[in-house]
Amino acid sequence: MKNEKISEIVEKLKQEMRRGIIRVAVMSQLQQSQYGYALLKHLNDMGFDISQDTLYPLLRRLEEQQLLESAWRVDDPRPRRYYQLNPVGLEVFETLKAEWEAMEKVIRRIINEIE
Amino acid sequence: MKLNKNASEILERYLLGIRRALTGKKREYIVKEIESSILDQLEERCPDSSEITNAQIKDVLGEMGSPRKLAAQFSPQRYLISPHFFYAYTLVLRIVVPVVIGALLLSLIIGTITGFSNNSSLPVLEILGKLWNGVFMAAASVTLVFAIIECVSEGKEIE
Repeated sequence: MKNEKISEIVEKLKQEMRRGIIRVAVMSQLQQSQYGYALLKHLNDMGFDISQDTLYPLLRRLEEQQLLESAWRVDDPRPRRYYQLNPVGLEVFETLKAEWEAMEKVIRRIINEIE
Repeated sequence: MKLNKNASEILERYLLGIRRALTGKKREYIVKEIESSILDQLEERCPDSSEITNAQIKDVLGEMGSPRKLAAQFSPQRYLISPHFFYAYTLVLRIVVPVVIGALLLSLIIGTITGFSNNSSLPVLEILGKLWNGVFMAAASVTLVFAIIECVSEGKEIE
């Protein structure tokens, strides 16, 4: 198979793999109140690549699912919308975090077994 | 950071493009959020009180991508016929289309044999035309019915 074809497949699978875990990454940072661009920069600085066209729609979806509270804050130099997990969101995050840790352990075990 | 007239016009046009591509009551809110994010990025590039250059704003907007593409990320994916119903749709088509072809051929044959048909020897092209019309209408009707089901159920699964 051609190299381009392989990297195309890898890229697709990578995106699929990340799709679910992005939520956990974003929610983890919203235990404290945070505005969109700061959140984006922080995640990228931590090594988690996320683009704006992923982050903002995701924030909207989390809000629609009533896991987030958000409000415009006008005491900043410019009005900015701040987001924070509400109690339900926190509970969901804790559950997802535990789920991720369990999954990570299992996958690691399976991969190492084959090696 | 300061926006001159030219730069704010570029920004306004970009935001207008997003507003146009969005629907629903949340769109003002989404546009404001995107605007706030763009301003944050501009400020990062131009922290002192100098004016934003056209190149800088174009750079930021270029990173954000086309307004339509960005707006599309905010809307849920919509289907004419969603994956829930797609299998059923192909199944129905696979039954309906052969049945229609069979019925049409049969009626043409009977018509020719019994002589009820007004012109006794149907040219091949006319037969093909009738077949095409019949198959097209049948397939279009099936598609329409499924599209209506999709619209009504809004992607919810019907057992």
